[in-house]
Amino acid sequence: MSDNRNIVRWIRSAFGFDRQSNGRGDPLKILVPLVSIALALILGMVVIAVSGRDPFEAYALLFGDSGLIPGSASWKREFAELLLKTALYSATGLSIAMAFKAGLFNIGAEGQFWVGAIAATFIGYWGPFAHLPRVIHPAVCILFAMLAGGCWAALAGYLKVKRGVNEVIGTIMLNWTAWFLITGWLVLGPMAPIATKFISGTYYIAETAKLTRIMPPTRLNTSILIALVAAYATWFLLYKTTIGYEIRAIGHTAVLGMEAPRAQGINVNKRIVQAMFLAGALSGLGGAFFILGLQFQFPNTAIMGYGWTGIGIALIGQGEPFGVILSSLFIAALRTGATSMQVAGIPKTFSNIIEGLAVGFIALQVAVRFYLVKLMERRRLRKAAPESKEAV
Amino acid sequence: MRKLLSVLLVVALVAVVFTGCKKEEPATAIKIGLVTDVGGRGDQSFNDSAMRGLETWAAKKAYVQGGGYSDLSDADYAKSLEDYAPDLTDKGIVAIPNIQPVILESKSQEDYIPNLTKLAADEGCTMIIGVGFMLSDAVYTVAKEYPGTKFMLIDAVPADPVTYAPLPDLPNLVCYLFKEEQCGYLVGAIAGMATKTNKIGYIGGVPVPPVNRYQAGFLAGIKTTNPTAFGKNGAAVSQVYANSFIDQPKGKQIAQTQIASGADILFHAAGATGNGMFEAIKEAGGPGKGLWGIGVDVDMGKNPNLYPDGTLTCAIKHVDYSVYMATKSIVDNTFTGGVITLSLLDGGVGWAADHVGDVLSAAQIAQIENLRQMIIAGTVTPPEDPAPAAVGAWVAPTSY
Amino acid sequence: MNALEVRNVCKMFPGNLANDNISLAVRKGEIFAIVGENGAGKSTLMNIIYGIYSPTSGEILVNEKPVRIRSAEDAIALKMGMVHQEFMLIPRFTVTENIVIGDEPHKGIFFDYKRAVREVRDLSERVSLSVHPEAQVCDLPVGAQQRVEILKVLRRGAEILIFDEPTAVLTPEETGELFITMRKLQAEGKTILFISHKLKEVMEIADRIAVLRRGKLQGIVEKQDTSEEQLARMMVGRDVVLEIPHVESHVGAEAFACHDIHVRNNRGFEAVKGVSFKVHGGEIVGIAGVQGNGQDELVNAMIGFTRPLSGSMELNGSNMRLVTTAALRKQGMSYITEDRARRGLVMPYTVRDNVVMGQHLVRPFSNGRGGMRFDKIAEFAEGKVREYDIRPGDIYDTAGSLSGGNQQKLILARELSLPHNFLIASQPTRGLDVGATEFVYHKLLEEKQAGKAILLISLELSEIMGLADRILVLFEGRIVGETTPDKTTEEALGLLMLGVGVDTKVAS
Repeated sequence: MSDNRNIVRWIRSAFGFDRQSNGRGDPLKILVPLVSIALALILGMVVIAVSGRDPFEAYALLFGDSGLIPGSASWKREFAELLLKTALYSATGLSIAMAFKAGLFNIGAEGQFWVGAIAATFIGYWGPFAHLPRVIHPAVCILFAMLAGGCWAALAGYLKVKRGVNEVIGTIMLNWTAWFLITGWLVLGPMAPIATKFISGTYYIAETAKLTRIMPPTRLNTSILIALVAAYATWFLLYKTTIGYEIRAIGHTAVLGMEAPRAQGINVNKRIVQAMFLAGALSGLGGAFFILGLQFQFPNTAIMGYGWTGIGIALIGQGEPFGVILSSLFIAALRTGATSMQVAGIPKTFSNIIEGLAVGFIALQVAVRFYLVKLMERRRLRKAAPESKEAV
Repeated sequence: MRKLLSVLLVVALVAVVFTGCKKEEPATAIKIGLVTDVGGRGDQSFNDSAMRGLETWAAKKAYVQGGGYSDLSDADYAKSLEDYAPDLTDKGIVAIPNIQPVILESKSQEDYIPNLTKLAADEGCTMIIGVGFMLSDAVYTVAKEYPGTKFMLIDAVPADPVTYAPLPDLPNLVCYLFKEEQCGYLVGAIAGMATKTNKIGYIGGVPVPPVNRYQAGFLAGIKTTNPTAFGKNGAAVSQVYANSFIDQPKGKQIAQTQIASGADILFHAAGATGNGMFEAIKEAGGPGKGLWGIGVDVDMGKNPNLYPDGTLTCAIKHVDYSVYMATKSIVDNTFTGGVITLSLLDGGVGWAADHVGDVLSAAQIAQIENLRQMIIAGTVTPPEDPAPAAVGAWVAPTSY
Repeated sequence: MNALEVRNVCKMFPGNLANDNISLAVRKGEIFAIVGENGAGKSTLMNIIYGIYSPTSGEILVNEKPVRIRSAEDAIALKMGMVHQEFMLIPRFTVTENIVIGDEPHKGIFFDYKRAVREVRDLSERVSLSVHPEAQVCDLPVGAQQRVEILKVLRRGAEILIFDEPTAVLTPEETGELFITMRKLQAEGKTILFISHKLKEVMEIADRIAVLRRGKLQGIVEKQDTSEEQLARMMVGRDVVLEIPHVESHVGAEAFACHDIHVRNNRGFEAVKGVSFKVHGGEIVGIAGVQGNGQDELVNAMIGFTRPLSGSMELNGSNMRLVTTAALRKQGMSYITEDRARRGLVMPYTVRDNVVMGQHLVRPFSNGRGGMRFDKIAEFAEGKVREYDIRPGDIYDTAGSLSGGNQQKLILARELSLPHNFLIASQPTRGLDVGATEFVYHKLLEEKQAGKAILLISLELSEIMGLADRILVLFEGRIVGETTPDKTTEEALGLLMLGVGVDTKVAS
């Protein structure tokens, strides 16, 4: 029994709705995303039905082949793809959640992802590192990818505290800089192999730099494990360390220009730069996942969209590290399953619509919250009996 | 907590029930899979062309907007051939019975391998087509894994990641390449004749090998018919890369800059980015101001979504035909692995008449036709490398 | 004839009666001043008249007709205009654009800038308010910006003009010019309401003067029948809220000293103009003054938020002029703020998380390696909640859910548990009820007995008189007097605070 209690308490604190980290323990924090997702799925059904297709069939395909539900012959492969995507999305999701906690909007996860990817590529093929042993080499690549992404983001943090450049502007600016630097120069010039008829993009990384596959014959690799560790580390940092305590205090007082943390002697500027660095490092980790686990070189078209996906994921995950993992899983499932819907002649747009709706409802969470509170209030009145403590 | 778990349980149960009712397809049809690159359906260019070869020409089906197919009428079938393959009338393109296309669009780059694998493992496709350079690694990996399935790769030959040499042929993988430099050469020759300002612009997407070949041929064509507009080592031709195949505003912006600096004939090899070029030409006044655009890959002069009135000609690359040919080889049992390069000789590349007749004299058009014959005969070989030194060193024919 | 009249107006804010049954009538064509301390209810009354607040009860009459004013638009339609203390101008726009914005002359669908310039020039000549119609507002001095603001109001056809503390941002010369303008407007038949707490100015310009104190109207007097002294007495009053026990002081070593401190405010003006004082252990030094005379800037400099322009600051013997808040706190400074929401607490944080902020880096609250020891913190918080009787008493309540008094107790619990020997208490009882106020007084006196040095900044004279061992009077950024409670009276202190007997011309 007490064991059970401990698990429940741990899960609550992991998702940030225990009393300790969140005052009066906010059940809405987990209800809002669930209700938003449910609403999105219901509305998605309506959309599919309106387009003249069977929504049940569509969802059967969508979730049947999402890798979430074991059983079918192709499950193992889909499961592998699901987890690969989860890892990839959770990296930028964590990045944006991290920045949210410090009251910053890191719209530059996209660029930090590229910078991390290009750094991982470079360390992956560069001569002096090319003969590192199997486990060390990807670790070094990841380290440098995180450093590069982190520094890239810290630059935006620095501009914010020293020059008063809003981080949204700063990171967008840096996105463009990264874009031109990488796709306009590095990939074409210094990092591209000598002109050849058969290849585009940069050099390929060495065999030793690739992430180890953990479920052959699928291409599932260690990225999902690293992502889980990263989520745990982010959670630990935010909720168990002094840096996290200060970062969250800054985040709570950032919006209205309050200065309580500063008055208590907290070095707000330093922490903002550090929070941006950490956010950038997490995005850079995503870039490393992409290069070391999937692409093995930086292609000469840009890798688009992971930063933007991360924003939606951080929103659905309510900015909590483990919430981000779950919402990544959800989005990854939608995207994995979307392939099967296409085979059945249902365009991939529908999974995009469901995804968009879920994020949309989260963005409307003020409204969702309002109605949920109303609903709960009404139920409480009707029962006219005290709610069990369990529901809190 | 308890409530929450029960909600999750219900969701899981419902999902399990759903999975039990998958539909089975009729077994007689030959399934041909196709995986697009991230451009996907509706790029007006490369992916659409490949899908036309499979869906329209081979399977004789019409894609229903939103998903699914309906049968195509004979009239529509003839119209498609007339619009897109006027130069292929002698190739005997007819519908192939029992072809069922299965198309997967890729949302992002990590989808290539799972999409190809899904078609091979779950859908039981006889042949799977990977459209475009970006799928090179993925197609090779999956083809190796599924030796019983045939694969077709368009525009690329898989290369070794260490030596960068082409990888050994697989018996179940056929790669189709095109002599883009040949059609690029012809439209370059037309551009050289058509320009009044002796300023010609080129917009590249991303410098991948096929795009480089277009550029090299285009420059050589200009060098042949108009050395002034070519300048020293091609320096007089404005050559700009957008570094993207999908950045339409960027394409427009580049074209506007080129027009502002006096260029009157613009050519793009930039996929959807190039749509912006036509927009810029249209806004700048088009043929009324002496401005013409040259399209790429397909006959864009037939595409009402672009700017047919301002399309001088197009460098055509019959991806659609290559897909048709590969599909036919499955039915005819003539499929062999290896590399097939399509050229002017076999109708794989060509140029579209569009408005050439309005700008060039009959004599000039005859000269272009001459150059075409010379390439087929092998007396003219356009270069493949667009580097200024390489194009500068290339010797243009003097009599044609 | 009365241009404007309010009858029995009450305005109730949660826990605070801001206007208590106020009735007054302003005659057409007069300059009517409303004076009172900050928080006396002047701004509330003006905001009611201008439609920004709606009164809890009572009615408003314009030109002797009852009206309902629900918004500033209603007020403008009734030919009223407000010249705000903070100018509502767009710095990058020209004078003309700023004046006509919202009511621009048109030519077809286009903005007719030339006509607008002409209109502005005509208007400024007619009322002799000189402005350059095509200058950019950000290039103008404050006085000229105010003229733009006045022109804007006049152009909308205002007959009743409300000036909300218009001289607060002006130099004496500019103030003089403003008064000339006001007389001219009066000569044109406009009615003017003039809000101020500067008695000299009021005596110079107003025809009649209404005095507010603690939300109540103390009386309306004709200028010729009154004096600065009488007004000051009416403003400050004599009622003492609380009995404060007398505690003997045992003055110890010097804890804090500053010498000739100059500090700029956030508008870039020098707000503290050379302040020097010392605070010793075991004494409470009170700084009395009307709000806006440099208190905020002085505190900001003392806690390391702004760097003083010049001067020296010493805390326990170390020079502290150019250091961070963290360094000051390490040196033994504690700070109780009046602005609990902005400066005092992280409202979404729990009591537990708030109570250690500032010492969260030291053992036992941190493990010394960057990890928090929340078990120890919770233990500590439980203790403080009991010791300071913070209600409702759950350490996992958020600070934002507590009442103001309990928030202040939480701040006290935190600041007094930090290792310190110098305490800055800036309006520590602002907005608190009697019980909480008493608690704060009690704690401050305990601190004094424990030998801590305390600087008390307060607007409440009774508080200063009851608590302080020495009193410094701050007026216009300078210390204009030093005294002790037994050598002075609240009246005398009040006069000093209002600058009566201080030559402002010399002071500025």
